[in-house]
Amino acid sequence: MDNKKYVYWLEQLAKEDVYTAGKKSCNLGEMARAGMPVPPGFAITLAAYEKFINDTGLGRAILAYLNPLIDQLRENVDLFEEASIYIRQMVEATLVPAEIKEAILHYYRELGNRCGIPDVAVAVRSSGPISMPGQFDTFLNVRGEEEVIEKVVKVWASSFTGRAMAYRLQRGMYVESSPIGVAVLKMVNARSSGVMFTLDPVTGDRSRIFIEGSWGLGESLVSGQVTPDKYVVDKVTLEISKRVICPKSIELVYDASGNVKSVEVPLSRQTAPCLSDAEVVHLARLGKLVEKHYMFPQDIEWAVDADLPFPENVILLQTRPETVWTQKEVKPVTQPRASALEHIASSLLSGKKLFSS
Amino acid sequence: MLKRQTFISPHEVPAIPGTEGWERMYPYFYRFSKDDPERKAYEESMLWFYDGLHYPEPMYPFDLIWDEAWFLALSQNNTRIFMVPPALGVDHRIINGYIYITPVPVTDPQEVEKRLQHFLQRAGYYYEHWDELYDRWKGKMEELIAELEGIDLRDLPEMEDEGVVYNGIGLSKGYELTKKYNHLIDCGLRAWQYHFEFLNLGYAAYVTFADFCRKVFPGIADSTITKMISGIDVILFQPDERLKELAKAAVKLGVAGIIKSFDRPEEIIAHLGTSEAGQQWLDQFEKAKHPWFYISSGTGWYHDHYCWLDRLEIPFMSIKSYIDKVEKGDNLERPLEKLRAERDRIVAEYEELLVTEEDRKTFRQLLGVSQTVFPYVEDHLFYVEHWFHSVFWQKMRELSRIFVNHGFFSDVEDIWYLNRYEIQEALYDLVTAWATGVKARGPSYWPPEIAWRKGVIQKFREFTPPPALGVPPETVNEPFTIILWGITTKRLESWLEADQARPEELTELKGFAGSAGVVEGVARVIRSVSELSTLQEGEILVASTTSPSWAPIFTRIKACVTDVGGIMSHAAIVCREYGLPAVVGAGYATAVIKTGQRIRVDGNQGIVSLL
Repeated sequence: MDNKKYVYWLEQLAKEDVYTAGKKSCNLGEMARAGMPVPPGFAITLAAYEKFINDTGLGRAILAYLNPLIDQLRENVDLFEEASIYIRQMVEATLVPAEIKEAILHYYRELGNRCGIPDVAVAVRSSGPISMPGQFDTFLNVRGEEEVIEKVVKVWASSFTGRAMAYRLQRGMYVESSPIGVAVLKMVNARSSGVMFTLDPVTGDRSRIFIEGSWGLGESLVSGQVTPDKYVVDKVTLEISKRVICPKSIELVYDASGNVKSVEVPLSRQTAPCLSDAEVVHLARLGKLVEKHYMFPQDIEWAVDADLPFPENVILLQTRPETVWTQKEVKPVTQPRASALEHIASSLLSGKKLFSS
Repeated sequence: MLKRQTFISPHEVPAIPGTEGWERMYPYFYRFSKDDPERKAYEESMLWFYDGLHYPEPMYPFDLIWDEAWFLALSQNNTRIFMVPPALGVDHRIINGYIYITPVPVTDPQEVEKRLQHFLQRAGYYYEHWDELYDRWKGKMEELIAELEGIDLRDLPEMEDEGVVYNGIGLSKGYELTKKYNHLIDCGLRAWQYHFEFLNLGYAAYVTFADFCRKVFPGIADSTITKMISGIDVILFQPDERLKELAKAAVKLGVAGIIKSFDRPEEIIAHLGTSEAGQQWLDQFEKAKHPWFYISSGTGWYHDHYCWLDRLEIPFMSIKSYIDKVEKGDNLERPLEKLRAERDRIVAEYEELLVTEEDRKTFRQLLGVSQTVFPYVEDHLFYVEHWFHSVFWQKMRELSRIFVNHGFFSDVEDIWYLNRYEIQEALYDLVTAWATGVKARGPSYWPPEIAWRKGVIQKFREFTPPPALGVPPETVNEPFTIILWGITTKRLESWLEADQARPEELTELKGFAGSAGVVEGVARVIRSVSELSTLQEGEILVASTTSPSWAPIFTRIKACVTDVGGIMSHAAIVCREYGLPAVVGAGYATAVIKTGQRIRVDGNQGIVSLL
């Protein structure tokens, strides 16, 4: 990887490139390279952030502002919140060096070409080199060159939240700079979305693929506002072995300005499954592919894009290793025996219990 | 888990008015008895469940022979031969014409321990020498069928042949006839001795493998477990394969038109006989008959389950539908290689999912033994229930003709209303009268009795036997009870439920998930083979049970629902093969579902919804 380059296509990145473009972008890149359908997009590198902070003199300006306060800040980290407001305003008011701006806009235009949509709506997401979920800002439904640059800067600025700076100070890291990458992804026009585990989260059964989904954006599922539809698929035969369709009365959608809003689902759609059987099976097939690639059961976020035809409409947004079951020590379910015959005898002896006593 | 509940006592099943005295049609030891206090107490302490799997209809007195035969054969193998540690035999009773059975456990732990040692040695020998013993078994079965075919039943002569004198034989044809009847019965019982030679061990291996799979993969479907061990090239597909070959040959020889333009088999055969190509096809047809046309149109358990040889219109119907497919350019080949590769893939992927090496070893051990035993589990049906039984029913009809000739019966089909002991008695009546030169008692004794019995069986037919009687045990260890009849907590629950609901109020029927998939469509309820031709392309077949000779219709249906049968039943096996959803053992499907009704068959969960 060229450490000076400012922008890459996602599929040019692999998981070892986290210090080039951050975790989020590299994970998506890794997925894209393995043939998984992720939203098309590009990654702005850590180098771009560094150039922005250094070349514009921002780093020095921040330091100059913080230095006199440093003892106070050490004593009372709450003061960082105040400092943060000032620093973020300063960052957001700084012009992006032309070299970087041109690189980003070049990729943005090209993304529009790829999608066949000029000024394509994108999500601008932070992509830190280490996992800090929820620390940095994410902007959805971003449209047009000007707005893209503005939101990229805002993501960069979010590395100066009070919490983040306090964290850095306490750990003896540079406070005035914390390079993060930015992922710019085509917005998925989510008809349905949800999560998928490549094992049964209830029993740990690794032969099951467990899918939950509801209408609209996935956040409603995470926040527990909706009881999702549930599907269980046999990982080997890809047969749907369970299907629980729940009434889904609300869904989250974007309003015109890109804000997420909750709307009521029309009655006719409430009790309809949010995925067709073909979509369920296709998702499961993708889940299997992801697990095989990472050699570990996965916890995956997915969406179905209303703008695309099946099967391209099924898109994976994120994947991470499943941690609950895979960290447990697995013991053999049956005591090993010398022969099949001994297993048979033991099974006959235990019989089938019909009743609780 | 289900709270222990009891079913109606076997001694309190109401009698059906107008059938009083029905007990005399069956052997005395099949009755529930109140006059022997010890036996009564035993009967009341057991769970007796209705064997609807084998007997969707009430028992004809003669047809009970197969029940008697397996009563002995299954039980002896558990109790006396292989010494299955915790399980003795399966006891039988009959009430209002329906068979009830109960598995008998070994209750003394010391006794279980003693039996275990013998079991390990004896069963071990069979598992170890399975293929070799099974090869020998096929030989024994084929010899037995040849022996049965060799029993020559013909009417008695006016005067004995002079050879009897000049060869110093000293035996009459009357005596010989009684001996031949005994021989016939002996062959029947022997076929069933062989039937169970391997089956108990086969099921035990299968149960163990299935249990292991369910423990390690709690969500695994039964149909997937079976998929891992089923043979791809099982004998039961052979008859149908012959018909496909015949259809292809007909098109190739240019005789398809003749076959399609006549309804009656005799007409088709006569017309084919007039041309060289037709004759060539008929030669191939003749060759295919033996033994494949002995396949029964039903399960083979009842005398009116005719085989293809008895009813040539059945194979011709299939041949015609296959000809249509060949002409349309459809490929009729079963993709054996692909099916085998798919099975191997499923096995390999499941094994890969196991986390510990210990479990992988257990998986391989149990998979190995299950794959070894499974060809027998699948194939024995053709040898015994189809081939042997079909020949046997033909022989019995030959015997019945002699009774008709002597005025005992007015129709060949009357013989089924006598049980096997009564036939022996009647035959002695017949031969002694013949020997003595007087009129037998039978012609005045049997016709009114048969007429009465026909009425009784009809009344039995209108009675719905309760699914179970008596008290369920806490555990079941008997392998047949578990897999064949599926006596599980879930099953008992649904029985208790259905017991209480009125059929017209049901919106959902529960059965076994026989073959995966979900589909909605129009139901076609088929009650007998003769109704099969009414089935329309794309309908859902609803039947009490299905038979291998129905195979061709599985290419035309969307899904299948049966009243009786588990995941190893024919319907389940074939639907898995054709990738059609199936719910089997749904209990009241043919009673509740109406032809033309829209239903949803969920073969993943074993649920049929009435829409």
